Amino acid sequence: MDIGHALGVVLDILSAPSTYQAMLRISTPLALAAIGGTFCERTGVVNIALEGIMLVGAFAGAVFSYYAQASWGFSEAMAPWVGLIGAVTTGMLFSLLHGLGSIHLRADQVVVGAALNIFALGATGFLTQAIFGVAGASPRVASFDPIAIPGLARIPFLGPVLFNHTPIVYMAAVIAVAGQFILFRTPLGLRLRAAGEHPKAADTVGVSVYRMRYIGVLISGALGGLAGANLSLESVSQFSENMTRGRGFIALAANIFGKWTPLGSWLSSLLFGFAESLKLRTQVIDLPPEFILMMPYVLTLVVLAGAMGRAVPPDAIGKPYSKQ
Amino acid sequence: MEEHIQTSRGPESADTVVRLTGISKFFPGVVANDRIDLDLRRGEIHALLGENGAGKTTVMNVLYGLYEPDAGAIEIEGRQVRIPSPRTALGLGIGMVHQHFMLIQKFTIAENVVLGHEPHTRARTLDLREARRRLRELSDTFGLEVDPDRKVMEASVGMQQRAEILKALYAGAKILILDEPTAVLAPQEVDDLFGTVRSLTKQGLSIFFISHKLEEVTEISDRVTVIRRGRVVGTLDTPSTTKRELAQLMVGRDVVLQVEKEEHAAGKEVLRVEDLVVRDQRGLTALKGVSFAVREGEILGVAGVDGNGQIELEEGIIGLRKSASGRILFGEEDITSHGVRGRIDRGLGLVPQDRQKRGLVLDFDLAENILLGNQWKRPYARLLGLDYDYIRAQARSAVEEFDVRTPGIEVSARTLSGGNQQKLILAREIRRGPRVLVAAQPTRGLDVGSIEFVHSRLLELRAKGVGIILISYELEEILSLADRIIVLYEGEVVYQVAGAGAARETIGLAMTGGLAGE
Amino acid sequence: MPGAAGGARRRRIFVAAKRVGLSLMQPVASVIIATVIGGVVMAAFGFDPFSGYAGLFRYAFLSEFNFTVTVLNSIPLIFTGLAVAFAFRCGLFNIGAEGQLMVGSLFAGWLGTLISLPMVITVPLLLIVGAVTGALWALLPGILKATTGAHEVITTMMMSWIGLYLTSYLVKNVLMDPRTTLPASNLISEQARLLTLNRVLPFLFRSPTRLHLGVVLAVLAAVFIWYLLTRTSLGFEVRAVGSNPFAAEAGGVSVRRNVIVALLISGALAGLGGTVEVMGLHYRVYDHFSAGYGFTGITVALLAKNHPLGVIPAALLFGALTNGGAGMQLKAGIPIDIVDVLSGVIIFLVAAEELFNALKRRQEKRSLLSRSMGGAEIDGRSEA
Repeated sequence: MDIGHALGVVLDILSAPSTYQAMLRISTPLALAAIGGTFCERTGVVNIALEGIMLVGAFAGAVFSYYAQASWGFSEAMAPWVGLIGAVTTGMLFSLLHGLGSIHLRADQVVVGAALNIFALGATGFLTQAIFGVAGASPRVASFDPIAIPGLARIPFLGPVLFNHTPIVYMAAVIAVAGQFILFRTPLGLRLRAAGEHPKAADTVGVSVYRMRYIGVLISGALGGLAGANLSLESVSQFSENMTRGRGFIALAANIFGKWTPLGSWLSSLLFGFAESLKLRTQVIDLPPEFILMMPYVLTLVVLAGAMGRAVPPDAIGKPYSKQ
Repeated sequence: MEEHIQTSRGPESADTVVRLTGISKFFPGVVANDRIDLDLRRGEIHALLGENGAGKTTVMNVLYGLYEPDAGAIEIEGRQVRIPSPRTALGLGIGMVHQHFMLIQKFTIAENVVLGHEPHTRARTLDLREARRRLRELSDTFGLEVDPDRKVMEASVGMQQRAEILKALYAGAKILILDEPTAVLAPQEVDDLFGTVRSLTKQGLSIFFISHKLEEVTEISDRVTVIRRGRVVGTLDTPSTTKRELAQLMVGRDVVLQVEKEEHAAGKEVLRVEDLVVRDQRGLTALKGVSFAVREGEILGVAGVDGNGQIELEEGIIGLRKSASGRILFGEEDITSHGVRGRIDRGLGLVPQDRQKRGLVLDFDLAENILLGNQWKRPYARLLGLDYDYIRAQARSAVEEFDVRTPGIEVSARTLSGGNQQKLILAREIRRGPRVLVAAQPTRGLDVGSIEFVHSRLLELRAKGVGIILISYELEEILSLADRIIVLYEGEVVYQVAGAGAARETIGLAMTGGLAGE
Repeated sequence: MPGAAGGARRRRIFVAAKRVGLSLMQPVASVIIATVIGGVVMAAFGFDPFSGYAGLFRYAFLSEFNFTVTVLNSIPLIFTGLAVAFAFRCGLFNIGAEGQLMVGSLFAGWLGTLISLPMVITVPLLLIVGAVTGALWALLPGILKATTGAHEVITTMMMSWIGLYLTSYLVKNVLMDPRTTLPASNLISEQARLLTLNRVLPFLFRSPTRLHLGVVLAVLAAVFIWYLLTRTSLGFEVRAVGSNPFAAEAGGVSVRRNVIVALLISGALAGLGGTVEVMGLHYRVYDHFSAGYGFTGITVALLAKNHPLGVIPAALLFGALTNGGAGMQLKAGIPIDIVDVLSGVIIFLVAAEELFNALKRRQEKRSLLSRSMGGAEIDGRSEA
């Protein structure tokens, strides 16, 4: 193999704006779900149900967008926004089940999450067929188009990379920064984290642990739903069965790799998204796509093994809280 | 038998900030607090003295809203109140510094202090600058020096405690409960704490000070209430009492169980501990170079108040906790590096203090609990698995021999009463034929019948030539059983005496640190 | 008293029967409630739940062919159910059985394409390779749990995904049969295949069947695991660690060692599950041939309350649901996805049910704790 040639190819890929544009696009659903997971786990509730929440969000996004245009008289441009709101709301309602099981009923949080994942897979598949009469996928629905930000989008290189995306991509960036701020710079954030570190200490100073945990779970529902909407209301423009394909678990990995911080979750998602964007071009660089796809998991294991500074989960994560 | 000294209850005074009347708290099968009357005057330091398990913390948990009392009334500033939660207590100006700090390790001290009452800017963000300012103000006023930006896990224990106190003050506490505040402190830190506590009272705070150490109670408090077995046995003005009087009240004389003890000469040495150093869970040195030996047919009593290294001694000897330095010799053999299994094989047995956590698998049936610790040995284990016929036969005869009251051996250990659980553990450990048995708190919480049973079994073992290390917080138990006595105080052996010549008062003083200074 | 011995025996049987009855009640109730919820959902979307469930039952059980397919479906589920249940008994949640299954079956299948020794050698050899490689895939999570305390839920999940991509790569790039269009390996040799049951027991079957000796292996595995757990010191120690690691430690049990061993055995069972599928049914390794067996194994184990013998009926139930679900779709037009809805509801209920137990237990424990320890200052001390 000609090393000079290979190097040239790699440089080509690394210097192409499309690589980075794809990175941002691919990382968005991961980042949103991961940040949701961060909030949830910071309050002490393990969330392996991200996969299911995303799936439900993707489904609801498509359904709401479809009906908004078909029956409720919204324009094609407005319908996806209705879908987005529907996805976020449905994600939150669905995550309430998680809260009910793991906060109020004090069931094993991992088991509840596993139950919700299976339930989501079945329910969305069932409903797709029940509503649209076809197995496997919804019809095409109105979806978001990229919005080129006037002026900025014409900057060479940076323009196409950063300023020509669908609205949810921009939202993800805003949410990452805002999430970081809320979690670490506001009284609410302090209380949320206290519930996940030492619930009894929080309780003895008058912070309601249940309320904090429900807030965390609901945020993961909202952001997971939004992440799902990003899948069905983007270029694919439809819901298809099991369309998340494990992205919820990558999001969980990104949350851990980002050491349970919103910004870290986002940056990890960008890294994982970058890797996946390379996959689109692996024909050129002779690296099997499977090895790129497993990278998030390998990196997360490396972090968990303590090789890159310990990733320390919240102290009370996974532990149901009861007052007595 | 019941002595009740009441020298200091004055007439109804306006200066009473807390009045507890007839507080009773029952846990299933146990009376933790039995009609406790207690009052706190403005600006005083009121010590609650008693052995561990006496009920001091329970009554304070009632006051702080962690438990609801089953009977009795609480008055704050002359007004009757109900305190269903710590939130209510905080609202009433009551703060509590728990023995185990309620601090979030990964948060800074400032964050811990303001949690629940966070100052915020106009933009609703956390105003840490304001928090720091108010924290500094408080620490200057009361001499509570902390570094607001240090994470709790990087702060010294003393600073953590000051942070806890600041937390209560920040929330507006006027009444402060300090639960065993010196238990975790070095002597120098204790002096600082006392200085702080005094300055707090000068600012008008009133303080409940829970302790089991005579020395510090006499030094710091204005009044002392002694609690024994859930009851108030006396409230005294500190200046007009003596350590000896307090020790007597605290330990009591009403538990004299007559034990028939035959005289016999002890044999040769079976276990020797040399300069044993063991760390506790937090990595602090809990056992600071302890040395002693046990001979065959001898009961060595280890006296001391809870929390002075007993758990570490128990777990260090059986191998559950590695020793940081020192040696353990079993006969001639050095077993310091052996694990639990190796030590069991050589003939060490353990009746653990925490019998439900360490002693039994509560969800296993009685037969499998008898099996625990034998599972690798013939004839319990054969080539192709465990011999459950043999195990069940063993369990049946163990249940019979040790009079474990149970409908059968196939019920779970959870269903047994405390006394019968203890008998089950004894049956397992004694029938294994140990040469040395560590019995930690073997009668704690048991009824009188079970206590006598346990005692007579231990004496039987002694007659058979087994060396016994009896760790107990009940001085009476040690006095009536032990051939020799050592007293553990703050991880060191501060006193040793032959069982026959032991004076209760002297040992009581040693246990409470009264001899450490003399 | 002449009847004393007989009385004791009767009582033991009675106590045991009561225990079995009680532990059956919750899973059965969960299944019933889930069935009702499923029926309501069907009705809400205009399907007829009665004809749906009738179709499900018919397609799952009523005919030799249908029943054999149900059993066939349940074979890998028995293995993965056992894998999850065994780890659970040691207090560990092996959520990565899917990856262990794929890795185990891939290496076993690979070897199967390479060798053609006599069957008596080849078959056991492949089974061993499948078990060992499956176990190895659970080794790292075991070691991490025992040393750094990293939670096995996360680590087994990560290893699972890595395993799925690794096997996918190997199937597509190394083992690929050039004659097929699907990504799949070459066929394994004749000697590496498990016989179908009609060849072993011709009198039982009216027509040729795909049902193979794997079903016997699955039942044997369940019995073996049951024996291991309840009749050997290894099983005793594993259960002791799962139930109360502190008391286990004081009883001379190494918690770390047992954690690693339990995950290895769990991984081996999952690996066997995939291997048996390859050797008995597919005769080659397809990319992603596992239809989520590892995940359904979690449901199976939970429903079986982690009892190795209970895994068999639980696996049969899910085998029947997949099979009958197809019938339901065919006959009543009800989407097969309803089966996953039912599974989700069942797990949720079993988990919540667990809680009621835990509550009862904890209350009991607290009362005993206070009874035996003087009660007064327990709260403070137990946190020490």
